[in-house]
Amino acid sequence: MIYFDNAATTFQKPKPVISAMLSAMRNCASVGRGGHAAAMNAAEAVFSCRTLAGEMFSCPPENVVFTMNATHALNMAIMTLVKPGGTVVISGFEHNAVWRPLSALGAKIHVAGRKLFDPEDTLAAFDASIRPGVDAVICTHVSNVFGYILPVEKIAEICCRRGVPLILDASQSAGCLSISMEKLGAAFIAMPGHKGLYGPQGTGLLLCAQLPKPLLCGGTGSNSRDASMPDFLPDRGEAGTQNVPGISGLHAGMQFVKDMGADRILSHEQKICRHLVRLLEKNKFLRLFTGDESCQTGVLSLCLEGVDCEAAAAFLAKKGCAVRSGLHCAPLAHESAGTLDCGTIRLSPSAFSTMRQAEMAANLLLTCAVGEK
Amino acid sequence: MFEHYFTFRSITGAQRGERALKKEGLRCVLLRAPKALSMKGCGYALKVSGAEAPAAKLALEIWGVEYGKIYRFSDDGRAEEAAI
Repeated sequence: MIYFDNAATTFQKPKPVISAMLSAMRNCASVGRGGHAAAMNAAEAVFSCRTLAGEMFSCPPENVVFTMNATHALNMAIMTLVKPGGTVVISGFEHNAVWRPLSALGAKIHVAGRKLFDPEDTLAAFDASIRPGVDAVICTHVSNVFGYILPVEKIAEICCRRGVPLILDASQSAGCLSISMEKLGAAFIAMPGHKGLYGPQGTGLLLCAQLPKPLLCGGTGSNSRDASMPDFLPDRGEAGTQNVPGISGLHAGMQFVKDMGADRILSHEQKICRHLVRLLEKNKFLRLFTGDESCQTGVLSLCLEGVDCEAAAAFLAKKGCAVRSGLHCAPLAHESAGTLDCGTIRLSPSAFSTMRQAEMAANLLLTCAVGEK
Repeated sequence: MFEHYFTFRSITGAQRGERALKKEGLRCVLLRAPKALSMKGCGYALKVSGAEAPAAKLALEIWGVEYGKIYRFSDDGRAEEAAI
């Protein structure tokens, strides 16, 4: 299979991820629920992952809270900072993981920056919208639909200057772009474990600069006589039994990224996308969404004139090529790009993708474009 | 010499402490805190020999690891807060 749906989840995992998960299932019990060897093995596995995450994202290990996924992490951050009916500033490229919890809170949402691949416009729009009294700024680092890299470092500077907390959605950047909790000064950074960090599904991280409001209350293996959740990290955000096999796999996935180098992975994915663009750009029936390399990761969205994106993706799937079509759970991003009605086809390679696969996928898309299916 | 217990409210804090002591070449054992030392129910401790307890205290402070209290057990098994 040609798997170009890595922005949804990296499907091909490094072998050590699977080995680590199997080992955890054989050797690990539950963290903080006992002093026996199997519980301590679990504690060691989880702490090792926490420590590596702290190293990768420049924050103390106890400020790393394990979640089920990035959506869980984002919800926790949003529920902590945004009051019901409060005011927030978000980018025009946010995922439903941001938009829906804000809508559920009845938040007044200011959308800043709608121009694709235009960091200056994005920055100017945030600069105009971030005012004292705003509960939080929530910004994706990279658009999941278009791979647009938003100027989050500069947005973070504005937030710091104006005393407005920042929640960064690093769902599409963790594992391919540099992220420093310390440098950004963000209140929270949310990310999945199963995308660019090459961990298994069911894992995510919330990096916390402050205590989060727990979405779940329950056992933590600490302060057990207290009816309320602990007022310290990471326990406050981690009620219930941990996903130890998942976290062990995530640790191996992050180690893979560290060993390979996030910049090398990004460069590889961008190279594959550039090759796809070269092969497809001359076809008049295809509309490619491309930006400068400095503001686009290895994600390529496109539209085929006169062809339903779902039908095209189904055709590709039938031929063994996995892509994502439709709105990608990001209607705001499609609205910004003018593709809300038609959706797009998204190709997102990974560290395991090859140029040959890009050529095969391009040929299939060209077949679609000329209506030979 | 008495064994000393450095208490921690979370296992993560105790694990940070354990790493800090190991970096300084000090021996310790991470364990669930004896009931008498965990007034809030379920805590963790690093057990350190009496001889190494002052160095352990210093190491935790140098590495910025927050701990609760330091206890030592008397001959009759009662825990008492230790002044180091």
